[in-house]
Amino acid sequence: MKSILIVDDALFQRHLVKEILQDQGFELREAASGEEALEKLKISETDLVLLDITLPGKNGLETLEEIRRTHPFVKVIMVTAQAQKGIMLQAVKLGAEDYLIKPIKPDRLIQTVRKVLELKEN
Amino acid sequence: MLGFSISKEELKVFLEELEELLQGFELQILNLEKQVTPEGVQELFRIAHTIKGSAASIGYDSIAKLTHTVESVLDSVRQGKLQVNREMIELFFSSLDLLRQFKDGIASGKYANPDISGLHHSLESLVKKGGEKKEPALKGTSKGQFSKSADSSLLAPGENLYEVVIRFAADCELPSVRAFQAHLELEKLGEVLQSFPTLEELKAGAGEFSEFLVSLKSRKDSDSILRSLKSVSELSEAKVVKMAHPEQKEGDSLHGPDLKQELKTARTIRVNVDVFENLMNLVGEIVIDKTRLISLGTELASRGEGGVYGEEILETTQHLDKMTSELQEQIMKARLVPIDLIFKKFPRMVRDLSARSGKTIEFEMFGEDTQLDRAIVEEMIDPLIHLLRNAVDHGIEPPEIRQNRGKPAFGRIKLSAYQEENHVVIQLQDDGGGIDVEKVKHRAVEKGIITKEESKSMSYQEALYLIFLPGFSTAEKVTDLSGRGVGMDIVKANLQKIGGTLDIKTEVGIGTTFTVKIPLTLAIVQALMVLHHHTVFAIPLGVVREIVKLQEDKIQTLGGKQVFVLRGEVLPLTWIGEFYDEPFPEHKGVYNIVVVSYGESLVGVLVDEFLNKQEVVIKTMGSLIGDVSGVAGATILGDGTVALIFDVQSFLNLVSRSRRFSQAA
Repeated sequence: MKSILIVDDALFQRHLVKEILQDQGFELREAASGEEALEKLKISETDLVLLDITLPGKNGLETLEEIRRTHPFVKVIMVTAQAQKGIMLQAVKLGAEDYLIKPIKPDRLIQTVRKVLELKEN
Repeated sequence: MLGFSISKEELKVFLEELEELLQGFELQILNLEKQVTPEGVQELFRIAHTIKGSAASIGYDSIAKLTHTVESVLDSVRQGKLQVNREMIELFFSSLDLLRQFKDGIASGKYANPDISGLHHSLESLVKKGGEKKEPALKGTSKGQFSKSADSSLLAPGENLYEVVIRFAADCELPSVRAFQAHLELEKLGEVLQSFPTLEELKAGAGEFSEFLVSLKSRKDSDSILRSLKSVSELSEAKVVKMAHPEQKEGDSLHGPDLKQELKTARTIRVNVDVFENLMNLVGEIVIDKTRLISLGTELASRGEGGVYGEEILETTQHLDKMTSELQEQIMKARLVPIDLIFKKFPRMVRDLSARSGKTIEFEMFGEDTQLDRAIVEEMIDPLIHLLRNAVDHGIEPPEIRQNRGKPAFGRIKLSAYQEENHVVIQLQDDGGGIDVEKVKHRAVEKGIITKEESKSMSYQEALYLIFLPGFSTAEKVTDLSGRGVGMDIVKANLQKIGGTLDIKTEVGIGTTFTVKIPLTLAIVQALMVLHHHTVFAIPLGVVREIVKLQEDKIQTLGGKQVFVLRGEVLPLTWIGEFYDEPFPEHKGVYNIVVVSYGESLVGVLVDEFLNKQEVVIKTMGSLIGDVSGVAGATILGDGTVALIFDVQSFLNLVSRSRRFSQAA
């Protein structure tokens, strides 16, 4: 089973994402900050990180950079509420596999996750 | 429109979180009023942003819009385009008040995207003020990093020239970023000679464009190029056209020097967990075959058959034995991770916990590099956290009490790990108040966990283990750290799951030591093979204390239940069939009893015959059968028969429901 780490400081956002993904056969974990995400990555096998840009402490881009350094094979989808091109360009440059713009559309989320994890459409 | 319909519970979560965020919002505005710091601005920005994200997700557009403008104002402040002033602070406070109103409206069910235009307008005009200043250049994109010289139109053997045409989906949010992504993908496959818009134009924010054109030099075929573009979302169409080239040699692409070079430089590969599990299973199979070969070889030798070959077979199997053990060890090693992965979180945790409880604690760790199976490490996280919390909360006394007892004011907690044969021992030692068993008993009676009579007949050890029962807590007052009575039972449950044992040594006024012993791996165990009803069972050696043969007169009945006397101690006696209401297999002569540990107590399990000690590979029962209480899995023996692996803990849990053993741990 593929395992996904949902990183967002808002509990509510994490719930939403979990709600959308929970019937898709993934193992879902959560982290409320970049630091927590990095800790969780160390202790549990993770295939994909859904990473919010705006986080307390280490922000999304810094976290992404760290993930790329420490876990080069973990896939990352950036999630943001700001359709800011500069930030997204940088995220892609730092190696994010894809990005999603809030408010998250359930179909788009599932489709993107499956694509990045290289799963067949269901 | 709602992006996603939400349930009542979720709305509750949303509102609770919103309140928290608004409180933070208020605090940060107050701080900002006193002093403007980049951190404060960033924090306020983050809060506004979080509110915006959540609100937008469930369609509270006014909230999202308002917080968005607040965010824009703060963004201008961050970029130095705006200064924080009285007007801004007032506007933030007004926004806060309005957001509070929204929240109350949502809570009472009267929310209807209220009018925010006044405030919105004022905030907008603030942003515009900032915008009048010169906009600083976009940071972080260095020119020319990706575009290589376009003059190398000469194609090396095996290289081809392609024209790639990409079109974007109608609802594509940021086409230029998608184009950038595509550009990056194509760069991986070869050299981008030219693109339209160019990379620089993309970075600078090329306006509207519906097509992205790239000319690419690559050794890959068109299909691989198309496939690489699949990873870019929101494309409606991608086309790869191979341009005519005089020296086309498709076959060359596989043997190009670049590819070889690539392979040479890749030193690590990623192994999927599934592959790893399979590998482990295969080794398990080999171990089974090995066992079988050895038993055949021994059989042959003992019969004196096979002549010279018999001896050679024996020798070869012995070598095979050695090799498989080594193979097993290597694979197991690959699965091992240092316990430091979880240990390193602890110093900070102890610091925070002790600060909150007003205690000073010196925390030391040893043996962080001790290695453990990954699966076990994960199961150990919660138990260790709870033991540590327990030590900080209940173990170490407050400084005054410590000084009264003549101890240093700061407490000491020592966490150490080391390997001992096939086990890892983790020890948590504190120099706190120790566990007062009488207090524990008293508390358990008070909580209704045991009766007063039971408390009287309990042994010291049994009483000690009461702290691991659900619902137990000796803290005088419930703290948010521990003391809710949840937690310590997790220690027991998780340890049980991985076949670990727990030992407590405590002395009132001196301190407590918890010693956890866990197996290195869960896949292969040493087991005692026994025969019961013509069926072979494997009892993991970890729980076997001893095996005894007793005469019938040593078996007695106490309160209608069988017990036996071992060196003066009366121990309960059970048999594998007891759970299935099979009567006690009474007979004349000698009884074969396996004495197993059940928490801190000993229990006898009656079997027909002891067979031997051997290494067994645990296989799950498979999804068709699923979890069976009392059975931890199955294993295939040397002669091909299947033996069930006896799960002592869960079996005794079942049996003890109908008959009370001391349910220590």
